[in-house]
Amino acid sequence: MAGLSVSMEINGRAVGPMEVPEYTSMLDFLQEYLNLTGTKLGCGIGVCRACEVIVEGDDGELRTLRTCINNVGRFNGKKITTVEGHAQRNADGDIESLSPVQEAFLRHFSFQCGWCTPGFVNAATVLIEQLKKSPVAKDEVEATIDGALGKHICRCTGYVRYFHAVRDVIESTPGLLKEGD
Amino acid sequence: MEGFRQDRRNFVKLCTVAGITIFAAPALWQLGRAGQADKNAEPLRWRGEGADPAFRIDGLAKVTGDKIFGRDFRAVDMPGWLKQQHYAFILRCNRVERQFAGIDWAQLPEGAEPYARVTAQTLAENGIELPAFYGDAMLLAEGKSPHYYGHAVAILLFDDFDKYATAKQALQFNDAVIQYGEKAPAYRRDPYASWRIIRQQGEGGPTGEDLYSPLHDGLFFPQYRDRKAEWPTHADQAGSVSERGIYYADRIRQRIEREAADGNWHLVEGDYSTQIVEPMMMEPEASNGWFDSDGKTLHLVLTSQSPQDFQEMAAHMIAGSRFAGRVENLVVHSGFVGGGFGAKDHSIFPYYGAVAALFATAPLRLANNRFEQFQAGLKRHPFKMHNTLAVDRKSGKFQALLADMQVDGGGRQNFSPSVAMVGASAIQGIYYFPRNDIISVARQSMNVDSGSMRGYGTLQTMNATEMMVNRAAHELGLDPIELRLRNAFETGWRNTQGAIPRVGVRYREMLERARAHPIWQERAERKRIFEQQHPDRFFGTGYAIVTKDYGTGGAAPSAAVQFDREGRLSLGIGFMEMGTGTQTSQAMLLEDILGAPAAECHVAEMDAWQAMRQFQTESPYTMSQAHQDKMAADPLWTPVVAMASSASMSAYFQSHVTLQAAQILFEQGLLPAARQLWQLQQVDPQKLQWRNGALEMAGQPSLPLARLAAEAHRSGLVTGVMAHAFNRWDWAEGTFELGGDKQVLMIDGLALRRGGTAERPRAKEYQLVKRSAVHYPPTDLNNAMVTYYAPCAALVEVAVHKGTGAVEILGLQNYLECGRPIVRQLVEGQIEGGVAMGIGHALYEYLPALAAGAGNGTWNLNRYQVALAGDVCVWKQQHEILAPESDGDPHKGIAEVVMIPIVAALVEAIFQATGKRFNDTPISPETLRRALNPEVL
Amino acid sequence: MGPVLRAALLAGLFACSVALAQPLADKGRYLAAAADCVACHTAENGRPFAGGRPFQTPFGTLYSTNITPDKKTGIGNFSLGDFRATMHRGKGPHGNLYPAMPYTSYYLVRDDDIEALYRYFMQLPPVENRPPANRLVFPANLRFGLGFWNWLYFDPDRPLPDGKGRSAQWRRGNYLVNALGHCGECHTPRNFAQAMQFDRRFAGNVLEGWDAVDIRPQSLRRQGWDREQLRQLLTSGSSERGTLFGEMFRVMQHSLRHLSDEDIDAVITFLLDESEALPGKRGDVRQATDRYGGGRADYVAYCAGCHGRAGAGITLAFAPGMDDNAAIRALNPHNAIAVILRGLPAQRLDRTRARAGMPSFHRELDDARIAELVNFMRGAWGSGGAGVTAEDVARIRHRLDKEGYLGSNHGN
Repeated sequence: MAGLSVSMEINGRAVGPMEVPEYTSMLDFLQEYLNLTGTKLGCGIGVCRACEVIVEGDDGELRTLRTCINNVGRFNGKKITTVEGHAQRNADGDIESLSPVQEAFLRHFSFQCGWCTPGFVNAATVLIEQLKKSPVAKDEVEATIDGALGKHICRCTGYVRYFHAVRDVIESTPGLLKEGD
Repeated sequence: MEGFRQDRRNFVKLCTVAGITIFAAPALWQLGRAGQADKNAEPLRWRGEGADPAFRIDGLAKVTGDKIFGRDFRAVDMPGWLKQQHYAFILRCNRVERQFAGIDWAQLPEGAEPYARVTAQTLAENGIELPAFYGDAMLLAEGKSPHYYGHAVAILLFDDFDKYATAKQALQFNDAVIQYGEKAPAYRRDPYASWRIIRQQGEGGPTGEDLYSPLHDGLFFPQYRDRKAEWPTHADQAGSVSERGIYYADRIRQRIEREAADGNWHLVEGDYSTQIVEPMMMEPEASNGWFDSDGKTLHLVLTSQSPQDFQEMAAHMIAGSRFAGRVENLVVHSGFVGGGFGAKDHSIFPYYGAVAALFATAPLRLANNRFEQFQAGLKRHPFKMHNTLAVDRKSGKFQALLADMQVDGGGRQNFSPSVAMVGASAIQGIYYFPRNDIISVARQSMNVDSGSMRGYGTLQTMNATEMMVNRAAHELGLDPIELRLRNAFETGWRNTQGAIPRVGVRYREMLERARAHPIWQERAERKRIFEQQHPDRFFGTGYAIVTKDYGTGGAAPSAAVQFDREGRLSLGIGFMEMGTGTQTSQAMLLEDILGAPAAECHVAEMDAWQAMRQFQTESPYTMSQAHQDKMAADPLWTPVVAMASSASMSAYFQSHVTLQAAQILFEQGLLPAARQLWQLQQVDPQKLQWRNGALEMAGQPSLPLARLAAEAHRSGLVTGVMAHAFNRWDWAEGTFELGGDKQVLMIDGLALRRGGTAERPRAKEYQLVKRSAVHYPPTDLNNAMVTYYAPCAALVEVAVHKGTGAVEILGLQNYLECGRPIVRQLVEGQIEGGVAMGIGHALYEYLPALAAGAGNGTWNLNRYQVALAGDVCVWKQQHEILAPESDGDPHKGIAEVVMIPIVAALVEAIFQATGKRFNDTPISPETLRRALNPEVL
Repeated sequence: MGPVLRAALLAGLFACSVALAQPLADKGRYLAAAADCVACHTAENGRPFAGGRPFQTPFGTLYSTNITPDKKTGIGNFSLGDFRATMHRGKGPHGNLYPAMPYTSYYLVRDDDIEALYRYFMQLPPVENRPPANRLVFPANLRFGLGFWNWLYFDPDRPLPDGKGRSAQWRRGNYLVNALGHCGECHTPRNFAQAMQFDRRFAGNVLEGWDAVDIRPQSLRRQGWDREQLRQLLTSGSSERGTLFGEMFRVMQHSLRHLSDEDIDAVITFLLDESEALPGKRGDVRQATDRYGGGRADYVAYCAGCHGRAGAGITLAFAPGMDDNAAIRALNPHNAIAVILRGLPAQRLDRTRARAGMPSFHRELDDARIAELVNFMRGAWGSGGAGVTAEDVARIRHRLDKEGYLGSNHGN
């Protein structure tokens, strides 16, 4: 199979350049070539969003991308954050602190089995980053969360605890709500 | 060569099955950082400061993407394994009406050839046959017609990921790969099982002796002719169990006809059906297996909910094959389960993984993608029911229940017999019936096989009952909650099987709470106002209440609780963590008794239990009383050594033995240590209490757990307790000598540790304490079928769009009675998840049968519609967990019941909104649109 | 006459007329499906035929009317004559209709069918619903101008295309496609006054940002459509040669899939003009790879995950292949470009058939890359007509952006 030379930055670390078969999905690249298995296969056809990662665009803006339906070439040269890349770790790899979104999901008991968690962590993180740039009115918070996370599939906890956790983060983080609200 | 011999000490011998030694490996998550969850900085410790834990023990690993799931592990992650990773996939038939005529290997892309192809011939040559539980034809032989859609024909093994991925892309949906020949008659066999539950109450009424019931008289079975069940017809009041049964069944049916004809009883009669449902747990099944031929060892990493059962059956499978001499050891690793819902309980999948690994030259990964999981994974049984509910017109009291249900088990038997039985025994819901005749037949079909999916038959049957009760209320002009109150089951009454449930029931209280809720109180007014404001929509309110049995009648949990010199508690349990938070809630259970939660909770523990040296003989469901009596004399015998995990089982059954072990540890370890430190001869346990992790008694210095633990270790007191319990609708009671006293405990196996250094329970540190006597629940309790119940109710208001048929949930109130919740947030999450899945069952989830269904291999989430956040009223749903009546309330199993009543509540709300009554799920928007707009094509 | 006798007579008359009316109404129900009335006369999430669906036209926004027999807000007061005048001449009781109402095709519907339709509509449950008022720019907001428009562009005497020497099946198809189905309203190019250009009937027309494709026989045949594929497409929305999306998906959903087998056969016979597909002229993958290496790399990176290696698709139940896809084989590359820019929303036909939708790429792929990607696919799997330029893409992007079709991001 034809190879593709790829290099990218994943969770702050340079990966590559390395040769991978060109049709390799980004999910398979993470799992089978880099042994980063935090990003999950749910449906494999871009519906459930368990496999979403964060990609930094050329404009510096963060977006989520589904890794199951996009092949590795789309990520070539990009900066990527997977679920493994949110927490601060010490030199031994032990966790020192979590991101606000991770912390909120934990404290809200948002997930059970945890398979959909990576997708929720990444999508909620992107939402928070977007709100830092363009805050939302308080009465639009719920609809905003619906729009950002409404397509993710969770089978254990029925979404309630994820959504409430994100609402808490938005309401408790300064600058995410429009002034005057 | 590195391998098994070198690492042998890491595994612990579990037992020997048919000459193959089964070893249990430490749970996989301990391999990674996730295993040291408690070593993190203080704010990241799960226990937190409050009454409830700050978060789940496994939460940190899950929210940071650690390797913890069976599907995560590659060869390179496994200590001692060959590092090279191989890959495999399975070819499956997508049709059944012709013979399988071979495989066109030319369809394989160049450069992507498998190095081994395992077919039926390979299996035959090597003498490999499936365990009987799964039937035969693991791989279909050439010339045979497929038994069902999705029947596997070959496993292809690849030595490189890209070859595997390339070949899979080329073959998975390629109709030219599997070739078909002659038209062949459909594969048929007799029904998997048939059940009949006949009961006629006696003069003593609900609490008196029955004239006839399964518990009173036993069960009888039909004969099969033309693949159909034919029940005996000879009736004799003084005859055999079947003759008496038929006598009473006939009498019940005649009485119904007569009373209905006389206008005394109102009959609600109808056909009710449920659809085939895909469990859609998020982690598709996977296995990774390495056959270390030098070490004569098969290592397996699984995603199974029931690894214990797998181990034993897999050992038999291998022992019966030509690999018998070549595999001497079987090592099974399990991780956290990425959602189960029953799909990974006794699934056939791990056997394919194991067999494929035997033919591989390096560790082999077999991992379903979602299409494959749809095609081959266990489903929820579809039920077709014809039911009759007889209600006395004057009193509104239920007089009789008749049910005739056909349960489609699909192409392999799996748990179909017991699903059919449990569905039949649950159909009474929360009501009392003086007479019933319930028939349930599990039959074979060419659909993908169904298994023990969440609900286990009860979701199907109880919702039918609730639909009938709602209809009865409407037809009799009675308030639906009033009708329910008149018929609610009372504590101490007999169920349809003639048994008396062991758990108090609080149905009336739950009904009264719903009746007082504004959604119910104001339903007429809300409908009027809403429909005025929204002329394009209907509004309706619905209610349903169910009670779910939990337990299997053969529960056998184990637990080990121990502390180290520093007073760190660690707990080992046999249960898996399937997401429900078992690990966290079990760890929390210790706090009341031992002053702190377990710092570590080892789930899916399999190795430690061998310290109790227990063994089992026959099936606990079918053994005779004589056999039980004879065997019970052996202090090492138990009806069941280990059990499969299911989400509903941990709270009650696992908790029981965890608490028993903790209590013994307190009495034999901490209490004597306290006496020694306080220098008292006697301490009245009543006067003790834990405060901030220290044991206190008036007038004495308080003793931190660490201090007590150090003393216990120093002076040779008990520092660890391991116990095994058995429950057949009642707990076995064993007599043990402890500290010089004879004690009767609700366990049947016990081992104690003194001193010891291991961080987790290790068999070799424990010493067996043989029981001196035991009382097992009598075997005829098997006829009782179920006696443990947890009720749940749902009140829902919906808007139905007149044009599209879309249902929008406007408000939702749940009620759950779960005894004493262990960790409230976990229970609440369980309710919310159950509601979402129930909404999916009621409105969206649907797989057609046979050729168009999941077995054709083209199903995935683009078509299979599950409930999304927007469908579940995510910002407004409410739930109420009834406060426990006392500290002595049990921890009830609730994982299944929470998804059930929302189904019938929605069906009724739709009826109240639209005037259209549906007996079949799902009521998809398309179905409703057509019903509401029959004038539009 | 005594009251009793009179009542009996009336009852008899009533029963008689009901008995006669019902088969006619049933026929009307079928014809209404064939004429796809429901698609336009139903608002999003609204009740069928109650009107209120907005239509963006170059002259402003029009709202479809309520055609349930509600006397206040619907057509409850229409006589058969009123109804016929509306259908055939675009003349409502309150003046001329805007030609968004396809009387420019319906004038060909036979009188007996008009009556069946009328009976059907009059026995629908009346729904009281007043759609919003039209918002049109001057001078289009003046209805009297419509008479002038009709005088200029509407020839009610223009007959159906000539069916002389044609089979009965072809002639039935002609009637279904041109009259009831009013296919030309979308598929025929329009002039500056939005009138159909009959000399280029069915040659394709861009509407709502999509190309309502060229459905002339030579075009369909050149793309390789055979009867079975067309049948699948028209009755399910999916075929090996591509899938329906946008308004055409709704046409299939509300209209085409309800047609009888005979009528679908007739439509196909008409569309293919009683001929067979031409032997497909396939593209050349190697040549396309050489010429459009960047396009191929983007196909591999962005598209192959769903549309398969070598364009072969994965399974049609999920996403179609590109290698036989009509959108790639079409002469006009508009839809190939537009679908990459816009993506596609999820669509569900019923509980077993649904598509997940497609991401939009307008943010990530620039004009040159899209041109090269489209050229690669057309070169590799189309009929060779590559030659799409970055300017072509830019033009389409500009127009889609201006019309508001690039705003929604169907996810990434």
